[in-house]
Amino acid sequence: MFSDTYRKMNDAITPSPALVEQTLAQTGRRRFPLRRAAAVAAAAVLCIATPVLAAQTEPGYQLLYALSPAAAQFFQPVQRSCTDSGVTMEVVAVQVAGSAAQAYITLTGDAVDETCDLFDSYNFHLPFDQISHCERVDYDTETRTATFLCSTETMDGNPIPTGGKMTFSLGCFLSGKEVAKDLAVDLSLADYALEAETVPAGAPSDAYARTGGGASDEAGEALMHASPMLRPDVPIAVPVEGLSITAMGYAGGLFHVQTCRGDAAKLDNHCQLWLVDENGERLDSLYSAGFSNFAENTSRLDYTEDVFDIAPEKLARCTLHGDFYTASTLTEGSWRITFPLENT
Amino acid sequence: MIPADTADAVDRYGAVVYRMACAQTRSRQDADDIFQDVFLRYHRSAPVFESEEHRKAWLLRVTVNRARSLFTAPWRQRAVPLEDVYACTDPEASAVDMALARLSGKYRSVIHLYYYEGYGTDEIAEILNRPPSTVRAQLTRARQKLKELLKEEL
Repeated sequence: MFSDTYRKMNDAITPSPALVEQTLAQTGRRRFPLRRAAAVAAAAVLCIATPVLAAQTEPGYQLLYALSPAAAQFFQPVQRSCTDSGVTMEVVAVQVAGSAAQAYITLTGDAVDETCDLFDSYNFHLPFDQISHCERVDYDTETRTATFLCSTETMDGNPIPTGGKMTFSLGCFLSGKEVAKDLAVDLSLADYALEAETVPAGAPSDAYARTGGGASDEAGEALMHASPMLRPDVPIAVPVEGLSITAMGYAGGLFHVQTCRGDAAKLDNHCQLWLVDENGERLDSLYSAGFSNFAENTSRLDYTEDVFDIAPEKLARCTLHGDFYTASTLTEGSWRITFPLENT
Repeated sequence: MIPADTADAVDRYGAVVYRMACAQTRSRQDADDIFQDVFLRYHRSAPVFESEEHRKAWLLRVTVNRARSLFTAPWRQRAVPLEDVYACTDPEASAVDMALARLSGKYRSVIHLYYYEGYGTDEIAEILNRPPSTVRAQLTRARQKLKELLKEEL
């Protein structure tokens, strides 16, 4: 039995008394973890041995050190900045190791808040296909400065060349992000336990394109690829500003809830919906499918349909709930910094 | 309200954090580092929790994030875990250990929270900051993979 075996294997694992003792001692003295002490010592030797480099990198080192002592041992300070749309972007430090690169970036300005999100608009300019991700690691309310750690890796494993230059750019960012968790949507689902009108597949005048989706299992995934789209109408409900429910009803024997997200390329508003029955049991969607109108001369609108496998008579006794994620501001600009990469 | 007492947190949840770190990294040395990082962060941020469950979930979330950061760090690519975590005393445990070694970290974290910590998929989704549907799909895939791998090992 896997669960019994796994439990027994883990029961035997505990932190050593020495580790616990050292950890508690450090909470009093704020020292580094043991293995990193060696890296700190190595960095100290490097600074003594190469005074020019040490003088050049000291401010960046201190800034990075305050944020992440571990990272400071491995990153090359850059501290170059540019300003656009009232916001200053600074590349604080960068590290290239083999096929991967990481950069600490700060954004400072009135439009920057603690929810700031680079919205996948950043780019390490490299002549390779890359996989990148970014996380916000700090926010200073006094200076309105958000710090991000952006990482990228070449897809084919090609090493990123050092000794030359690298450019990091950013095209926009989101702020004013809000989350409304487990919000009950004030709608009587019994009123929508009917067949709903769908958009005819392939009709040129409708011009809705699929934009992806997700499913909880393979069956849902198969249904998702052939999912019909309900015809959007005026909002039935607006759970939060920026997300509205524009259609509900049955299509192909499944219950669809259509949410209009506005222009997803601008604010990335989205939600996750589920049903709750009269016993308080939660029912998640079988799949969700995305659509977008790409018709000319109209503003882009994105829709998500959450699709549930539930009988009409049971639906009438359910309520609709969701987690709703919205942003209020998209700040666009052109931030671009080129910096030298030292040989590693 | 639960006060942020680091010694109390280590006493109550030290093993929980350490096992989670071991499950993800499969290296006692990495788990040692993560353990220290997690409780130093706890000490510095001094969070206040509404309940013990909330505190445990916070510590698990930070543990998962620290392990993830470790795996995404470029210097990590040069390191090879020694896979010295589990002392396997019987063939079944040895087979499970070998199978877990071949699962990715994202599957191992879901497996550990489900089978060892006893969390439901919605709770795991909260801890891992993933959609519940993703967690369910990952649990299903992890089980399938384990089933296949255990057939090979046994």
